[in-house]
Amino acid sequence: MKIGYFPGCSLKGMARAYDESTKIVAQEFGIDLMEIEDFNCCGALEVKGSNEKLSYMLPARVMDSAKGRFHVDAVVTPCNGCYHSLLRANSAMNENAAAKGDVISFLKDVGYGTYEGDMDVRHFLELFYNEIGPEKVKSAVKKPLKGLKVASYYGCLYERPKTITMTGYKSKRDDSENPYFQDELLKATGAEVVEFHASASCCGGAHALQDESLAATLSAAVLSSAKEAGADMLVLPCPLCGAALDIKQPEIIKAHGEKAKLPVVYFTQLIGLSIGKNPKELKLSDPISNPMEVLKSKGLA
Amino acid sequence: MAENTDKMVIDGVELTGIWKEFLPSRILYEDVTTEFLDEVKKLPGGSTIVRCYQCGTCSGGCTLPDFVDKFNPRRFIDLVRRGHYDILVNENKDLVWKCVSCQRCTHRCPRGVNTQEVVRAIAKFLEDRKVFGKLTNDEAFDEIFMEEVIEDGRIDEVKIVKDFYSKTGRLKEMMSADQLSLGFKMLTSGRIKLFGGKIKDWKKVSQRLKEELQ
Repeated sequence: MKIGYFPGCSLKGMARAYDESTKIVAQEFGIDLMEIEDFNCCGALEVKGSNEKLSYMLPARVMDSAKGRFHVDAVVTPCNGCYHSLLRANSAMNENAAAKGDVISFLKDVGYGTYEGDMDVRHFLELFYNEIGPEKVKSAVKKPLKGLKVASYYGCLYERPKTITMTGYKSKRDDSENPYFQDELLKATGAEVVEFHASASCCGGAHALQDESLAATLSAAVLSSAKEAGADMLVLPCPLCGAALDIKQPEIIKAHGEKAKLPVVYFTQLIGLSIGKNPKELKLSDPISNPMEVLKSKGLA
Repeated sequence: MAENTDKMVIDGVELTGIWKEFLPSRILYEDVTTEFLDEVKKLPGGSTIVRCYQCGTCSGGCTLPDFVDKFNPRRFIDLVRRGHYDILVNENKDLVWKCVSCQRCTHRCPRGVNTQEVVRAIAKFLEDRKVFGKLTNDEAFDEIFMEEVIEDGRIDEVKIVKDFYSKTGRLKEMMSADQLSLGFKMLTSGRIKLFGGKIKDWKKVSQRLKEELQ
């Protein structure tokens, strides 16, 4: 299967650790990712709330390019936001003839192909769980993450809403109320996954700039819930949650105290570490929340 | 809403007090005005508002009531449907826009209402009627985001943050010691790149997207 890789804007910016660790892990397990090099922004929440037609056209251009120029069978993205935008555009094209017509004439006008809304869109976490899975991770582990307690956090758009993600309707999708794919992969690395109530709660990241104080309160609730459960770090599959929970963490601590102080990493970084990859190439020094300190103290980095 | 202090007994069960607030029946077919409903329906994401049957599943699972007192998507929808514009503006305008788009409401809605997008459409309905007396943070951010996506095809995180602070008159916050040291750390570690990637042939796409907005 040929897989197109759509990193999205964040992974080419501040979340480069997620981009690089995803590529390392994919390569190590034999997933051939072909980057859709001329990708554009998926449009995110802002375009969706401003102009419906554009919110379908932008993701459609990415998928048309993946299909027509890179000839792939599926597009995978590690970003919850991009995942939502792509799936949402497809579902609009399949359910709404007018929306489909708008997209097709847009693609034609700009000299693109004839995308019809039929691309198989996958989240990297879901793809990795289904195509590789915990058993293969377990047998590839060279440096078990023994003694490391992690809180496995998913964010919102990875499993919700079911009208778009098809969680509960389509095989290979995670459980929408109790997602577990990341938990199982992390257990396979030898880490201990703690129970905490906020694993599928919202970090408030969508309003990190527009409504800073509320976003910080929501983020603090996630971080402190994980910390109270005894986690040494929070692990996640979304660069937008990463920005809210890691880059904003100094401000969150200022407002809510040390109970919100907790290292934040991407799941691909920990899988990479467990199979013997170098912390430097996994960019484990990137997070502002400093995961290296606890990893060193446990002799894992 | 009836007063909580009224005495009420149903089937021999004393229901006086807060419990009674669950009792007023849902208004489905009567007392619906189309004036505002039609307006919200036409805004981005607003069309499914008509499917709502007021079960309250959205509000039951909503992230915000824990943090924002009286945040209630079911009520926002009800007020639009019944044309209670004054209540929407006076009591709810500072609530509606606070939605964080977690999608629990849309996910669980048994009627296929795209609740998150409907709530955003209601906020936009209020923004369009200028009830906030100024450009809201959401409007400012959405405008900048749209401009930058259409112009460059991709979002540059540093540029968008700078432009947002600039547009909302808070540029000097970005120059605080904390922010500068964070920026310096990200720049020296290479997480911030000063020259983002350019997309080939974007000009043509950009032109076409601009036509769409006219």
